[in-house]
Amino acid sequence: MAPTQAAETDRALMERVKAGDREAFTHLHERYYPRVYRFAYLRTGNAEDAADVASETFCRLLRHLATFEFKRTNSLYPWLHRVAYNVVVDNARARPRGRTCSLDAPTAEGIESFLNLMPDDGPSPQELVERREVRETLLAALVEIPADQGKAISFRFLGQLSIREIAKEMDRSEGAVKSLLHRALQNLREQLLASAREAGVRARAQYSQTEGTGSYVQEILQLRSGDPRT
Amino acid sequence: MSKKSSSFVRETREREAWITAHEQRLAAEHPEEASQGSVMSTAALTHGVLEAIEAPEEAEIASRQRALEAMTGVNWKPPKPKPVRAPWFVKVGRTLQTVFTLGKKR
Repeated sequence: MAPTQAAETDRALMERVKAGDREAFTHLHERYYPRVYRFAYLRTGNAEDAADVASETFCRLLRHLATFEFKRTNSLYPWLHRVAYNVVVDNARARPRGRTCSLDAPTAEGIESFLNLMPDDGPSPQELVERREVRETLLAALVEIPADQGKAISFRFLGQLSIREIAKEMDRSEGAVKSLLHRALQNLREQLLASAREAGVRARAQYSQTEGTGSYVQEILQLRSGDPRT
Repeated sequence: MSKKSSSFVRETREREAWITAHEQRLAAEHPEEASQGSVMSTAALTHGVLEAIEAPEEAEIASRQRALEAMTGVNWKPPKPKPVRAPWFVKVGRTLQTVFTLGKKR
């Protein structure tokens, strides 16, 4: 039974939900809850609000069941994305724009190195993406990019839509979607590198300050001991 | 649930293979912008970070329960299909049939 259900399309599951099938709804919930939660987390910036938004999104799905129909693709994600976005706006819990997260020097170095070298395996990439500062920095950058770029990123990386499906949903050509996604990723890369460089500069400034203090103390000690070198 | 191996890098290379082709085309069209570096690593980092955000299990269960409770309040009877009204010519045809049948019997 499970493989059949896993392969069942959103359209088929929604037909069953419309007929009152609770099991079909459970499958759709399992399939989409983590993605809606991630999107909500991205917009609200905290776990509690993200859970509220995701829960309300699924309740709205049930409320609009009678009139719901798949318009452009067979994926439920674009509808859920739109509703989750509206819930965030309704609740006025949007993540404040321009929120930044300061990176420590090793994390900044890790991001810079990953963006330039992209190692395939090993624990370091996984450790990197699990660091709170990296997540915060990327999420802040994602909220900062233009709305259409953010939507394309959400469809591709959260909704797992194909380029063709995104093109249908956004009413653009496939080539235009590729360009849009590429621009979005370029913007993210620039913002991430800028954050990493900022952190590097901060760390160097701190280091040189410490160095400065050290030499100042040394200078004083040398003066007190009457060392002729001073 | 986050993946404890770093498979997201490999997955991104496979799924976002279009990036390489797109960048090659861009490099051919605008060679001066080719040195900016590939965005494949950014795609991998985005993929990895988003995958690493774990939805709390209790929140997922609570959401499912709330929705399933809401489902019980929904009227699941599908709307009755409206009786199809026969077009005028069918009605005329039926009337004529009745008239002729009655005429024959007489």
